[in-house]
Formats: sequence, structure tokens, C-alpha cells
Amino acid sequence: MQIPHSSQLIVKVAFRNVRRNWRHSIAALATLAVGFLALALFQGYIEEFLRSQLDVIYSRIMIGEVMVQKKGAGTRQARINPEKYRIDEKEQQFLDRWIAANSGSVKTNVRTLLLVGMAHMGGSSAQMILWGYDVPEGRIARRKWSWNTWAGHPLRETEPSGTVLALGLGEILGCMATSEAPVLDPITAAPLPIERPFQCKQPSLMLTVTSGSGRTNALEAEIVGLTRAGSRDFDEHLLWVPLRFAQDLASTRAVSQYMIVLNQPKSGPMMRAALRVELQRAGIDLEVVDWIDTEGADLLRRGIDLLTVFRGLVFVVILIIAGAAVLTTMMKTVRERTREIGTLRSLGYLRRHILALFAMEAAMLAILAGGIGLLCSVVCTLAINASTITYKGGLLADAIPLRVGYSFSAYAWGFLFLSFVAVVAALLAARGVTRMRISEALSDG
Amino acid sequence: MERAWSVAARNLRRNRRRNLATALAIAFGFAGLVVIGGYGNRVEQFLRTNAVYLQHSGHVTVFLENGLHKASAEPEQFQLNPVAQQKILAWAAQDRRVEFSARYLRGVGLAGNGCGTHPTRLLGMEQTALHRVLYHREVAKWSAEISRPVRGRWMDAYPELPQAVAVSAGLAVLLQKPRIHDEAVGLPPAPLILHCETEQRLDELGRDANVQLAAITYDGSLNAVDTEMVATFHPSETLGEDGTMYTSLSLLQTLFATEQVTYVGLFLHDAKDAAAVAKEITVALGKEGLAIEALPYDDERSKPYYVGTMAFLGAVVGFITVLVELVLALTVLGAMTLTILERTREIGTWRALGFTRRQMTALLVREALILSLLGLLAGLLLGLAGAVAINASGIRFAPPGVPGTIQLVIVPAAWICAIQAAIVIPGLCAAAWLVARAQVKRNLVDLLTSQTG
Repeated sequence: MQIPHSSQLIVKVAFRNVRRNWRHSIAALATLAVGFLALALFQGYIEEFLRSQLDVIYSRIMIGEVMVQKKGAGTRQARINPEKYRIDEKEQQFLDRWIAANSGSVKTNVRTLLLVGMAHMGGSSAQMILWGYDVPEGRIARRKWSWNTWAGHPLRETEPSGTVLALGLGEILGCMATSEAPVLDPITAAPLPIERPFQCKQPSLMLTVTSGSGRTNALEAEIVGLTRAGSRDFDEHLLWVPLRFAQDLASTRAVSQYMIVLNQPKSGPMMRAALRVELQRAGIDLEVVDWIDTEGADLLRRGIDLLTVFRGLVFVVILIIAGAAVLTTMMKTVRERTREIGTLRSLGYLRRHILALFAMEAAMLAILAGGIGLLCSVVCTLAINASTITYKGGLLADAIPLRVGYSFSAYAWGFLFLSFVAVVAALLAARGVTRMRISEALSDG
Repeated sequence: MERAWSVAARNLRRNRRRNLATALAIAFGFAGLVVIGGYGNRVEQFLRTNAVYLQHSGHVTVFLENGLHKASAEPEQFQLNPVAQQKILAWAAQDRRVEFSARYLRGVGLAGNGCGTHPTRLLGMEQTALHRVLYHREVAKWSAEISRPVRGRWMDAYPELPQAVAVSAGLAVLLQKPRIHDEAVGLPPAPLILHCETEQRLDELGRDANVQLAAITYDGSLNAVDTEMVATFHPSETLGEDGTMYTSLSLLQTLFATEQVTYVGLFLHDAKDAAAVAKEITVALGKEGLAIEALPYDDERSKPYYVGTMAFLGAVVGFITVLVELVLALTVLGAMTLTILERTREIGTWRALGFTRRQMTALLVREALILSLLGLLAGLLLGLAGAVAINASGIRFAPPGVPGTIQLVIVPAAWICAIQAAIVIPGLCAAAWLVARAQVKRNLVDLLTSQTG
């Protein structure tokens, strides 16, 4: 027998049942809502953490959406034979032409030269990673971090031998900021453009590196500022100088990388692909990559991987507990309504209609719980973000503000995930009763 | 209610299927907590062992006052001279909490192979201390994988070789030195003048394990020593991989032409004593006129990575624990609501027979408690089995700040499980109490004539 408008009827009956048995449903509803809240907050935290870290890293270390380097530039072989792994002048000319041809899409281009060596200042020495870059272009690439110093000032074109030291390296060599005034803008989380005082035991330091031919070169640099390097390890090693100074120090005109910053960051994949084609056509063997895929992003990737494992654990726990909560509620509901099921069956409802009825009830519970969970998530997100709590994150040198993002994908997935859990639990609970004979079901209880 | 517990147990048996579902939810939730607690325990022990032993700092690191920040910049002024060293060692020797103490000198220099040089961090240590650190039971238990050299044997195995050094594996690659001392014995010597510009270089550099070490002494002169690479190793910090060397204390003191040391590490029998020892040694030596800075291993200034990571991990584990607790409490709330609604008339009958509201509430809470305990016991077994399975599977992962990968090991600790259970049980009982209290408050006639149950 065909039930007319059966799907509409099922929806109506399911809705009525949810309302009528609200006391039975409330605990399952609360469990599902808390599950939704947990998923939304955890995912929102991870997404916001990644977004804010990428934003800070891209600004701070002048990363472009298109990064060009020699293949193997991050390997130890490149430390042994550095010149072989640098972009030479001919290749630079090609890249400059390509950038000029795509000037409408390119915001700026920063060339960098990375060197490893020693920094000496009046009897103290330290290992250093020297970062030479185009100063005016770097200022643009740093976006809201254009002023990047905790003390002193950022590098200027008028100071060809100026250097900015990371605070940790500065401390090892005998330089420290002397102002206690707050550095970071509470709104942008970038340093306020104020020249704060600092003290060094000497105004300059001697930098030595081994050139490609094995010769050791040395140059004196004047300390103009102190900054933070982001990660604790790098904070004890990094210093920044103008590109030409770094090239003179290494006796080269080559560079390590081209960082091409685009007007539209979303066009990164397209521009990378276009440049790869052009390089291949010109027979130039350069690697065009996204920074996040490089060795330099290893620390960030490892941190994200760890959080992803935790998120997986939270998902599993919620899946099991929320599933069990709905199962318990549905088992009770189904058992109580055995006679009702028998009546519906005797009226011509098929087993699948009954299963659909319970699945619909569970889905309604999940959607209602999702709605409550969504509301709680938004309220909690607002409260957490307004609380200005900060925490320390392992290798990161700066305290991280605790912030949770509004993750629309997490909300959507939360609804789907919990609906799925609830429907499966309901079907499991209802399966047994629907298999009973009609007469048996009618005479139950 | 003499037989209250057996009555509660019987009631649980009556609704076996539903109670099984609730107990399973509790079991899975608690198993999750056991696993994550075991992970947290393992990470804490691993990082602590690295911070205390493998970074050669001790549970308490004793610098001259302001030495933590200034010993590198102004070594002569902010390092420990022989008199200060003796005072610290003497104090440590008489304190029963200190297992052993050791002196260390830090510095930087250039490691060379005759063709080129690479900057390196240097740590000079006493050989006896190195032996005690590397073969310590804590190291064997928590960080055995990282404490083993990649190749060769540690310097303490070569008492006849005072210039023996251990070189980080990445630095050995940069120096193009594929052989350590034991592997280079008997090979024809390299020529006096190396062919650095040709491919012959690789063969010539590989014939010995000799590494030259150059540095600027504290008075500003350039000094150099010849060393012999007896081992390569992975340092416990990522950035150290391409530039770290361990030498004997005397070799490094010769290189820097000094008798000073940067710090003295105090290794304790019990890590819990670190803060007290740090405080007491500072006061005691202060009275003798020696101003020192003693930092326990959990001081952020001394071990920022350990402290930062543990704070972060603690927050994540805490969040998950609260979440699981909340969801479990709600599950029990739901299950008990259904149980009580089903048994409204039964409760009415008990009340009519003279049982007080308090006794009825206690009976229902007992049911929740038995259910929770059974769930927790099953969860504990499930969690322990999960830990064994994970440990046996040999999964490797790459945590931040550690070179390469390490095996994922879950080590549940009894005290962590007890704390988690102590947090979960009251929550579950409170949920049951809330539901029971609301129901038993109802009028006796209402209870007896209820349509439900």
C-alpha cells in the first residue's frame, strides 16, 4: 500500500515526537550541542592559529606568494657549494623581465641572500644567519610589519652597512633594548613605529663568512636596530643587512631567492604555474614554489600536524560519546513506542518508513542541537577573543594571543557530522523493533 | 538501606542494553583521556630528560649572577672562576638531594676540514659527567633513541684521546667527513696539501676524522686546536644539527685560554627538589659572598622550549579533558533521566514503603556510581590496550623542535589516570544526583499515578 505524501507525514510525525518527548531528548540535545561547540571551537582555534601565524610570518620575513630558488637550495650541499645553488645574474635578468612583463599582478619583489657565518663584537662571538634583502622592496613586502624593530629603527637605504639584530643574538653579543614601553600595537599585533632606545657594548660588529671559494671574508656593520625573529632558535642567530652588503661580504652578485609578492594572493598558484612554463621554455633550471612547502616552513607544519592529531582525537571522542548519547535516547524512545510502530505498520507503513521516521527525529535533534551549538560557539568565540588571553607556544619567541576564528566550514561539517552520528545511532536503535511482527508490536507492553 | 549497593547493582542489570551503551560511552571517553594523558606524560618526560640531561644543564643550572644573559657577551666578567666553581661543587657534594654535579663551558668557534670552515656551537664537559648523563636510567628510559650517537662512541670511551670530540651529524656532512675515528684507523693518510678545488677532495677528506677547531680567546687572539671526531650525533635542538660540537672541558678551556666555566649543572635524585635546591644554594652561597643565579629546569628563562611546550600541551590536554568530562556528564544525565522516568511508579512504591527522599536519591546516585566505575574500569583497560597497540605499531612522528622523527610512545601514568578519574567521577555522580533529586521531590501520589514507568 502506498502512503500518500508519506515523506511530509513522516516529517510532521517526527517533529511532533521530538516536541512531545522533549524531556527524553534534552540530554541527547545537550550532548550534541556540546559536541558541536567543541568541534567548532577547536577547528576555529586551529584555523585562526594558522591564519594569524601565516600572516605574521609572511609579513615578518617578507614572503611572497611566488618564491623562486635553485633546486636543492635548502640542502647541506648548498652550504658546501653555495655559489652553485644561487640565482646568478643571467637568471636574475630573466626573472626581472618576467616581473616587468607581469607588473600589473606583482606588488613587489624582494631578492634575498642568505649566508651563514660568525658575528663578533668585542670578545664575544656568535653563530649567525645573515639575511640580505632589498631594503625598499622589503618594507613593502612586510605589509603591516614595515616597522619591524623592537628598538632602534628598520634598515634604511641611506645606511648601506646598517644591520638589525634579532634580540637573542643581540643579547649574546652584548646589545639590549633599554625601554620597557610596550612594543606591539594591540590591534595589529605589529610593532608600533616608535624608535626606542637600545644599548650595545660597541656600535658596530664584525661579520665573517666563508665565500664560495673557501676564502673567509669579513665586513663591519653598524647596528641600527633590534627585533624578534619569531622562533626562539632563530632569535639567537638572525641578523638582517641590505642585499648589496651581503653580496659584498660573500663576494658574489648572485642571490638565494626571489620573493614575488602579488597584488592578489589568491592568484599565487596561477602565477607560479605561469612562471614555471616560462622558465622551462627559456631552459632555466629554477624552482618556483610556495613557501609553505619549503624546509623553512617545517616548524610551522610540525606544529599544525600536532594540532591536527589532537583534533582527530577530539573528533573520535565526540563521535563515540555523542553517538552513545543519541543511541540511549533512541533506544528508550523506540521501546516506549513499540505499539505506535505496530499501529503505523498496520496502517501500511513499511519498515523503511519507520526507520525514516526515527532517522528524521534524530536529524531534527541534531539540527536543533547544531543551532544551539552554533549560538554557543559564536558567544564563546566573542568572549574568548575579547579576553586578550595570551599563551606561550613552545619554540615561538612571542606570546600568542588566544583567538578563535569563525570557521564556516567547521560549522557546516559540524552539522553534517552530528546529523550523521545521530541518524546512524537512531537507525541502530530502531532496527530491532521494525523487524517485529505487527501483532507482536501491537501487543507490546 | 542495608543492601543499597546490591539493589543498585540489580537495577542496573534490569536495563542492561541502555546501561551498556552509557558504560561504553564512559569507557571510550575515559580511554581517550588515558591515551592523551599517556601522551602528555611521555612528552613531559621526554622533554624534561632532554632539557636536563641531553642539553647538559642539570635540574638546576648555576651561573654567576646575570651569567645566563651575559656569559656569552662578557665571558670574563660573567663566567665562573675556579674559586666560584669549587664553592658550588662543595655545596652540591654535601647536599643529599644532589646526585652529581658537573662543570660546563659554552662557546662558539669555526670547525674546519682544511678546505673550508663552518661556524659551530661548542660545549665542553667533564668526561665523567658525560658518562653519568648518557648512561643515566632516566635517559635510557625516556630518550634512549636520541642519546645514542648516530655513529661511533661518545668521548668517554676514548680516555687515551684527549682531543676526542663528538660532532653533530649535519656538521659532519658539511665538513665532508664521512668517517669517524674508529672507521678511519689504518687508512692511508691524506696529503699535507689537500686538493680542495677538485673532486679528489672528497677522497682526501674522508681518509681521517680530523677536524680543526678555531676560536677567538677571551683576550681577543685567534687560537686553534686539532680534534678527532669519535662520534656523530643528533642534538636535541633542530638548529643545532648543522653546527654543534661536544668536547672535553679541558680541550675547550685550552681553546679559549681560560680556567672559567659557563655554568655548573646540578643533577638531582628527584626533579621535584629543583626549585628548593635552586633557592637554597643561592642563599647559602650568597652568605659566603658569591652571588649566583640558580635556575631550575622548569624556569622559563632557562628552558623556554620545555616550559612553553608543556604550557601549550597542558592547555590542549586540559581542554580535551573538560570537553570529555562535560559530554560524559551529559550522557549520564540523559541516561539517568530516562532510567528515573521509566521507574517513576517504582520510586513512588519505595517512598510509600517508607524510604525517604534522601535514601532514594542515594540509591540512584549509587547506580550512577557503579555504572561510572564499571565504565572507568573498562575505559582504563581499553586505554591501556590502546597504548600497547600504539607503542607496538612503531608509528613515528615529527614533533616541533626535534631533529628528524621519534617514535610515538604512549606511557599512561597511574597518577594522571587517578586525577582524571577523580575529575570524572564526581561530575557523573553530580549529574545523577541532579536528576534524582528533581524526581524524588515530586508528590507521592503523583509518583504512584504517573503515566511514565
